[in-house]
Amino acid sequence: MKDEPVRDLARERLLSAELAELFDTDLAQLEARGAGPQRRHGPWLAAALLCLGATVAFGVAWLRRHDDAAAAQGKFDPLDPWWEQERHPTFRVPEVVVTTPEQVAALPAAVARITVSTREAQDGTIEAVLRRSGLRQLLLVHGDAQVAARVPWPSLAAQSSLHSLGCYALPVAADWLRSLQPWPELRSLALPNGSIRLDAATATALAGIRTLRHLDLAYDELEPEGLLRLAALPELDTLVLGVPPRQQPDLRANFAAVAQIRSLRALFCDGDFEPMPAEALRELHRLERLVALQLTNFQVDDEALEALPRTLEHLALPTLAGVTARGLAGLAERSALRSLACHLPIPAELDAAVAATVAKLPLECFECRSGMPSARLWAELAGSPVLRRVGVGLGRDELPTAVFERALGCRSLVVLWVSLATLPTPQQLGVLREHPALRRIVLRRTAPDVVPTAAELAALRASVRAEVEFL
Amino acid sequence: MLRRYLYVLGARPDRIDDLVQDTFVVALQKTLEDRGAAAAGAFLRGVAKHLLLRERRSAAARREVELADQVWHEQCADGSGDQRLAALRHCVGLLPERSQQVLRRCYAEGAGRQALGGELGMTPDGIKTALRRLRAALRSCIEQRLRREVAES
Repeated sequence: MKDEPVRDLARERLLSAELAELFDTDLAQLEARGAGPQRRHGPWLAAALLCLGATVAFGVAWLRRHDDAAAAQGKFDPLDPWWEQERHPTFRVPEVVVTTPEQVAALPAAVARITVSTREAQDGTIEAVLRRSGLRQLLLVHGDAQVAARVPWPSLAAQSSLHSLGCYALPVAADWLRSLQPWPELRSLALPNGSIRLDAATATALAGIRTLRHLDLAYDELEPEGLLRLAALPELDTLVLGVPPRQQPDLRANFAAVAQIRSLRALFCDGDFEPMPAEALRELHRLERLVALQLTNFQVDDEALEALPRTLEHLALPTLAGVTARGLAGLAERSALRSLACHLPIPAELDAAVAATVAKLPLECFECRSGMPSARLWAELAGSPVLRRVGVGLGRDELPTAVFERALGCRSLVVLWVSLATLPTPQQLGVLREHPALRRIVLRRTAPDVVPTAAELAALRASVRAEVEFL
Repeated sequence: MLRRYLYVLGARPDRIDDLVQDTFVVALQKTLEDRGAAAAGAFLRGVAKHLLLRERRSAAARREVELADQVWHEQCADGSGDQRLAALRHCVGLLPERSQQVLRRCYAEGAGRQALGGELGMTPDGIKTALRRLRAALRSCIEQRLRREVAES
């Protein structure tokens, strides 16, 4: 047996012994509960220790950059490192979609997040889902008033153990929202795509759900008075908004109301390709805890970039077409930024300015959500010792091979997120096998007909040492 | 200290009490000069390691004990490991409340992954991953704090 795995196991045992002493617990019980160090499993040990080593490396890198005081302020939660989170702030949308009670019965017991396609669902499907023990998240997707009338709302209101609930494009009554107020665990509520109209009555019902942390109201008609009432939610952390079709909301008035939700840390806003006024963004300066802002499908210019709150650590920008190198140079001065995403392809004339911005910022995450970053940009990313996550969205005709080869050069990378239209081969993905730190590869299909077989997925997973997720 | 040391060396938890007892029996049989706590600790660890090595027959198993002993000396420069323990207490205090809750429920109250997952809305595998990350973060924090203490001294 090689020395280093033995030494690493000894270090782990040392920590276990110290934790047992600190918490005054018995080592034998600790091992029996599986809370001790990892057991040795022959040839699997090397892989396990590799993962552990990578994890330790992140921690060390983090602690090099952040002192104890920052850690005490809750900026890093080992339970939930920010770079592991998916893009959607409210839900990890599951692929489990059911329309019949039989499909529900056939699901493995471990499935805790279920989507019901409400319009096509047979009678009894939602009830069958609600009878499952351990259900954590339920999404009801699509339906008009007639479909909504068939939803067993009273049964649903009785399912008070749910953590996440969503009604997408399905009309929901304010009275029914009031019945959610006693739920003790409800943290995420998604009511987008016209499911509600946020008037005073609906907002009052929502404001009574005191446990809410994430609220998705994208593409709902919003009244500033309704948004103001959401300030009564004591733990609201994330808010998702989107401009509904054929409407021209007063963004400044809406953001002024949002700015009263002082607990807010993340705001996601999808636009209608109209300009995002700088004065609307200035309203957000009152949100002292705001660290994440996503603006998609808006036009922004240098003035809007300058108006962004200084507290931001995570920023996702829409098209850069209205931005100049001067605006990007201003962005590069925001040393608090550690995550930057571009929603649309980076214009060629701005490539050098974006690369310079990336080089100057201590970015831990960079995403180019539509298109492959340029060679110049990849070179800057590869030179970053703190880069943890890269996300790339590929078009239908773009092969992922180039992404994998470039990602191999980013030696500190932990998570690689690729949105693609065609499935890579194990040989293509296998380029990443030798990556020293990569622990997770997320492949998100953009074409619904691209569904790998179990054998194909197994071959992909066997081709690399990192975990491979397929969404 | 002796229990921690023996566990690091690879002793099974159900053998540690016996080994500690045997160690003290040997120590009592010896006539020791009073050269301070550090010397006494070093002597006790030496006896404990010797007793453990007697239980290890293969050369490979004995080598593992030696390597683990090296790790102890690298990690516990004060010999007793008490500085590390103090650093761990400090680092646990710096963790976010939810992380501290996971540690308390898991290590102090004996909650299993299933139960803990139910309380926190995570799968048992998620709890396992979270514990792994917590341990990694604590290890890093301890090392950083000890480095800082050395630099300041």
